[in-house]
Amino acid sequence: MVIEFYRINIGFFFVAIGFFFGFLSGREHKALAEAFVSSSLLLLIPFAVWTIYAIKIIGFNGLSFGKNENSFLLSTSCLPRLALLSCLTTVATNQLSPIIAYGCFLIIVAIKSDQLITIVEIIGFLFFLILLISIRLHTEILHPNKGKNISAFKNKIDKWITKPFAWFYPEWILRKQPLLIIGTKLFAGLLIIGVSRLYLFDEYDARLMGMGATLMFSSNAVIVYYYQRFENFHFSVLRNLPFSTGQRMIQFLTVMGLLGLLEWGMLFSYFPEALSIIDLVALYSYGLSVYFFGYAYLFIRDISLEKFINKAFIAAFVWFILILFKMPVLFLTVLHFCIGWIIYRNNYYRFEFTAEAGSEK
Amino acid sequence: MPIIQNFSKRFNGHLILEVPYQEFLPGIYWIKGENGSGKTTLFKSMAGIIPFDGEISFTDGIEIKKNPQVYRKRVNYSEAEPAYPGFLTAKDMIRFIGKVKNESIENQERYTKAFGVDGFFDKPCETFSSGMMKKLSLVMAFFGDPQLIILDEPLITLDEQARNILFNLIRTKIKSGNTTFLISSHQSIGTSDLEIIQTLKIQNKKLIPV
Repeated sequence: MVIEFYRINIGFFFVAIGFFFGFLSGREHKALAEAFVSSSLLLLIPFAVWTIYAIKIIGFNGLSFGKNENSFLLSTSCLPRLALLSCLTTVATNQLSPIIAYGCFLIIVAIKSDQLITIVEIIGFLFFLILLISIRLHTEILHPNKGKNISAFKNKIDKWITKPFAWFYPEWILRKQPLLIIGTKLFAGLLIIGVSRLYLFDEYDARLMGMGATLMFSSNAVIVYYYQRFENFHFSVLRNLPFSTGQRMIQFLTVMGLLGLLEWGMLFSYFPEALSIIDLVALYSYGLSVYFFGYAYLFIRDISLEKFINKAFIAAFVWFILILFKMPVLFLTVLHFCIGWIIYRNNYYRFEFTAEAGSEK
Repeated sequence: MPIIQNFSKRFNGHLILEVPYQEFLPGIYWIKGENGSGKTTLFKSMAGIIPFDGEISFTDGIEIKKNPQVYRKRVNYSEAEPAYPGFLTAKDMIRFIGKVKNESIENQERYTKAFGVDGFFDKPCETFSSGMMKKLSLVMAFFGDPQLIILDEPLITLDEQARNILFNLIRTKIKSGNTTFLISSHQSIGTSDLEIIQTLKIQNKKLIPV
């Protein structure tokens, strides 16, 4: 449960690490921690984040117990009660370890600031979260297969609406990894706002926005990865359907466009006046080409999420440098689409999952 | 009619199945084999879901590798253990596959009613039993104008009424004269149920007539 949790959420951790350690220096981290421990009210901010993380763990654990291949876990109900609880608290503690690590950091800062009550609050809240997750696990094990309750709202929607194909993946990923979507969109939005604001204080050309857009589009690498998994594993019937390679490509771009509406809307709203509409259109097409290039790459061979994110980071770095040295974004767009198309057309039907790659699905 | 030539399938370098040549005439073929012998591997290869070495084609020259789109228009596949995204309803799946396979709404409704899927048409797949999921998969296997329909373990989890309906539909399709059925089943299919042209068995990584 612990290893699987970290394996599945590796993308989320990469984004979180990139965000917290990329944007804040050590001194800023310490200043932030001192602010949190100085008041019980401000301490609610990390507590709120920790609660969201705990909810994510509870959701993951619930889904895991619902899978047929994990039904063997239910045999732990035969353990003596104390042994079972000990086991479950160990699982919960390990799943919460990033939070506990940050909690320890806050405790150290609180000790240095003589905030003893804060220390008690932090320890108490961490114990509460461990207990919450353990109790939920305990319930899942002792009261499995409660049955699926479908809300009246969903029942009504299902009666009235036939979902179009373009909506299949967005709903799937929103259900599977809601925090990934929220986190990615939040990151993209903040990035666009931040980069746009720089244009207010100095004169920059389109390269700055191009570099910002590169980071924004690259941060969707995990969403692209899961699309390929959805299309070829979770909904593998698609491979039997009579779509041409071109149609499959258009389906992918349509879905990614749909999922990117929020950040594309923000790009439009905050686009600097110093840049032209052509630059905006160029960035939109550049974004689609980055998604398609990553998607096509996934068909060369089965690859783990971790390796794909590593490659996405390297690619983003290369694009970053190329744009900095005045490589036109439109040229990169054409290059991505051309190379991506060749890879995609040659490899789509040759692609197969290999269990040894340990690839995330 | 479908033809297999120089077919081989390997996983991590290990040979799973080898078929030098096999022709399938219009009619029903019963494919037998022990668990893990390679039946589903063969079926998924013929359905275009997994890659393989060799050639699978129709006698008019349409090959799976050279004409992937046209080939897939002619092949329908019902999996042994169908699994679809849980939030999708039977209606979402049927309308989507029906549209792709150019099946009229009228016929979609006909097959849906025949298998009793209209009773849970608007329900999400995550609420289905394995039998309901199987029925949904079988409904979609008859859409369009396929020349090859692959049914992997169609009889498991199916109730007797649905089984009779399935056999009736197969017999009706066979009468059109142009459809080949490949059916795998551990349960016996009697001659009173279906007229089997040939029974083949996967044994020692080969497809041999019984």
